[in-house]
Amino acid sequence: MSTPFNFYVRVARQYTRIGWVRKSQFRWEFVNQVVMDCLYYLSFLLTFQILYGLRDDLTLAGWTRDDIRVFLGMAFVTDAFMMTWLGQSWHFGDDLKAGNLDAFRLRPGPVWFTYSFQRFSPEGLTNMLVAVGLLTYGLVRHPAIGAADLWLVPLAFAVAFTAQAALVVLLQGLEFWAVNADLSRFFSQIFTQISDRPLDVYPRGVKRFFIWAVPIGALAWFPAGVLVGRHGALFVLGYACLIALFAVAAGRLFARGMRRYESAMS
Amino acid sequence: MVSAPREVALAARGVRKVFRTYERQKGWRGVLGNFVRRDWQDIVALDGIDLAVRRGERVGLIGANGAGKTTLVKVLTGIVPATSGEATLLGRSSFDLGDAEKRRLALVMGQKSQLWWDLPPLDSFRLLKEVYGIPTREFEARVAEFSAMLTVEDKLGIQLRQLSLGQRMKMELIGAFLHAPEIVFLDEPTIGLDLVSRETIREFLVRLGRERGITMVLTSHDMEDIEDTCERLVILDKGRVLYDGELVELARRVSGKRAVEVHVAPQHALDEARLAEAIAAHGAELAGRTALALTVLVPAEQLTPLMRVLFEIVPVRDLSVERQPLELLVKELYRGGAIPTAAANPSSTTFPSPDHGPEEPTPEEPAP
Amino acid sequence: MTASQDPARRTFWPLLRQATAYELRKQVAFRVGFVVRELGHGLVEPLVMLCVFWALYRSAGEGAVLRGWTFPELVQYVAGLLVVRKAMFHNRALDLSTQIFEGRVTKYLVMPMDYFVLAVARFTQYTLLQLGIGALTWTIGALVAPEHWLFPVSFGACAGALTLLLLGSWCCFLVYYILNALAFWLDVVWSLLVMVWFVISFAGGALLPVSQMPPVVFRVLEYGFPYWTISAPIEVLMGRLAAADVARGLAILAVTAALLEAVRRVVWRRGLARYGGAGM
Repeated sequence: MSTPFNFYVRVARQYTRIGWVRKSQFRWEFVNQVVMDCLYYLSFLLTFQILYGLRDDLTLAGWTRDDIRVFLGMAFVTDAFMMTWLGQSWHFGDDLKAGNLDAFRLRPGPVWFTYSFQRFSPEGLTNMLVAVGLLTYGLVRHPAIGAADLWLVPLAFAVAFTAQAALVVLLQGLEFWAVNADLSRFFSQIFTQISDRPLDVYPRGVKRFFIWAVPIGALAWFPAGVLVGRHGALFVLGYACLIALFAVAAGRLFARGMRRYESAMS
Repeated sequence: MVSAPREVALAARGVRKVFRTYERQKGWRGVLGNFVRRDWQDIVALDGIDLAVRRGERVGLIGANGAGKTTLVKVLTGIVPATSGEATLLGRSSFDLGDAEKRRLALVMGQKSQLWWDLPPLDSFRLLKEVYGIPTREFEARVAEFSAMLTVEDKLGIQLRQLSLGQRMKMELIGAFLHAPEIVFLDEPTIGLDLVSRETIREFLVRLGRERGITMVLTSHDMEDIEDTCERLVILDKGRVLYDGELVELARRVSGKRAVEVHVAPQHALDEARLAEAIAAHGAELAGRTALALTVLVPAEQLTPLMRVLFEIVPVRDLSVERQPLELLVKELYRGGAIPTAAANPSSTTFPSPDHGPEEPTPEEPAP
Repeated sequence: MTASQDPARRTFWPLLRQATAYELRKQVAFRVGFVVRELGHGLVEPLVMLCVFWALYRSAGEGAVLRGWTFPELVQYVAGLLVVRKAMFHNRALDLSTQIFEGRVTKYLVMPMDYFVLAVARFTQYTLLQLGIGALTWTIGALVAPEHWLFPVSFGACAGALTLLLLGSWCCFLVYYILNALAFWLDVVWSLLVMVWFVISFAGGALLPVSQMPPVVFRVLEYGFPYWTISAPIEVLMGRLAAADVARGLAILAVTAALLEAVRRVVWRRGLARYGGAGM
């Protein structure tokens, strides 16, 4: 019998509460991390501002300055989701080596959820507010987006967050086959670097790979494209279904990988 | 009237667990060689374990370091899969336990914390409450009861990492028993603890085990833990079962011997040859020796004659006589001493396969 | 106390050699980890940057010059970036803050040695390994795409660029060392290190050449050590900067290194006075 939905809600609520309890003890860390992420956003905004400022008529593979504002807002929102809920994934390699998954194997609930979502981050939530603010600014400034299009925002968020969680679970799953390799951290960084630019800037083969095979396009390119009207309705529906399937496949791979878990012997 | 045998709670049939590793070569050539080619080796941690534990039994699992105790616990609880053979818990394959089975199971590891290090234990307990779906009233009652039993009521709000080792261990126990598990594994729960803490924890385990009929598997290097808590003993050696039987049966084996500890005056030299001859002549053996004391194991009927001779040979300052501690017997067993065979024990005979129900009870024997 | 009398100073070089060899051996202990951490690190971002510029210049039209840079020149810049980013010291090679938090520094404090030698060994191992990997990367690029690749204009330019890079990398190392040492005071340090990395990479030209930024920005950034560590060595190799610029850069880096070294000593001394030896 699969785990009921209210299990996820109850546990997530507790993880949220614990995240706030933790952060109340480390206020300096809270402030630091908010500033750190704001610097990250700023470096991107400045870079694109400089690039588009080189000449007035420039685009990035058809993405105008207005489009890029929305794109960056969406990229930041997805990154903030990762920070808010999936921060524990950075420690997965170390925890795997140290045998720290034992307790999660024993407890009810899928390990991919009880482990990956345990580190709720209030500073991530704060950055989410900043990111949503930037996205809102981009949406408001965009000449082609009106109030009638706002219903697309929840769809964009749903696809992006599902893809982000699925990607994290997939990379963690891969780590079972190469302990000590820090694969999840390495690929996570690479995928972030790639997905933080519109996929249209890459050669066709690379673009297709990251849309269909390893769908990091769902992190920012697809949802931003939905919001600025770059994708047709059929593609939107089909891709959303693909992301759902991808999430299921990632979970299966992780479950497979648990069979290889050796647990450090105490 | 003979009561029906209890249902088998967990079982291992022919369980093997093999780990792969490689030997690191020394020097620069070896390091670069390792990069290109590795000589893989199989480490056999468990080598055909057969074991069955019935509901309500309390089993002590002991063995030298590297014997496979922790590995066996991890295979039985489903943390790691067996390489071959079958491990079952509550009728299901251990590695494929569902949420329902996991809610009836708990594991306490003395060397690895399962609570959140940077949180007060109470916050960790609240999280476990949601994970296990414990009703609020029962949760509060159990936290109050267990923290009182373990005398840590005033520590529940302090960060776990700021507590002493003994306090932390007590919190781990509370966390493990919160959801009223039916089967509990304890892997060296008293390691590194002071005498008082160990006593408290043992009393806690014995009381809960007896009151609630909890099936327990306890690993420990401290024989007192085992003697106080368990009724059955399994000894592992190099991944195999060396002994599996009632603790009472093993204790009977040692009741015929006495351990004599003789404290000697250090400045006097001993006539070693005479001492060895006297010990051998009375069917005794030297079980331990330091600069200031000897421990001799002697059959009870030879005690008085041996004492007479010892007083002549050894300048005795002090003396104590007690029944042979189980610990010394186990030491003997580790060194390859003779043991009662496992086949003589009814405990480890039947192995239900996954998905089969509990065994049929045997018909009552007619009264004499 | 003279160098020959002070045990810490007497053992510095032999200990540095031993510790460097040990650190190098550690890196090759795990094969997949080596490929991922050492070979793979820092390769993707420059290529991503290249794709962005390709898209930008495509929209600008054939032969466009944007603030003094053509697309072929940017390709050469990215080729240089692949090597420079490898060789430039990165904080992932230093876990000093973790050692302080966990009290693992304690055992070294009672030994007749300067703890700093172990950190220098990390720097030395990192630089040697990454220079080798950088050279390999450059060679592969030169064989695969010689018409687009960056070939140094002269041996002198090579020497100048390498000197700037090594001295700049040393400045990065000192900055990371100082920030790590703040672990004596702070509970968390990693976010500071990440922030500094953002600043260094932006101000140094890892996202786009510094000289392509608005002139007022460039005039400020050219006095900072990140520019002389990342952007300037590449431009020296391309022949866009002359010997006089190299000399100016070396002066800026030397002064920066001296100041950072002084700060490092003060921070370490003060930090040790606060050190609780947690975990002893």
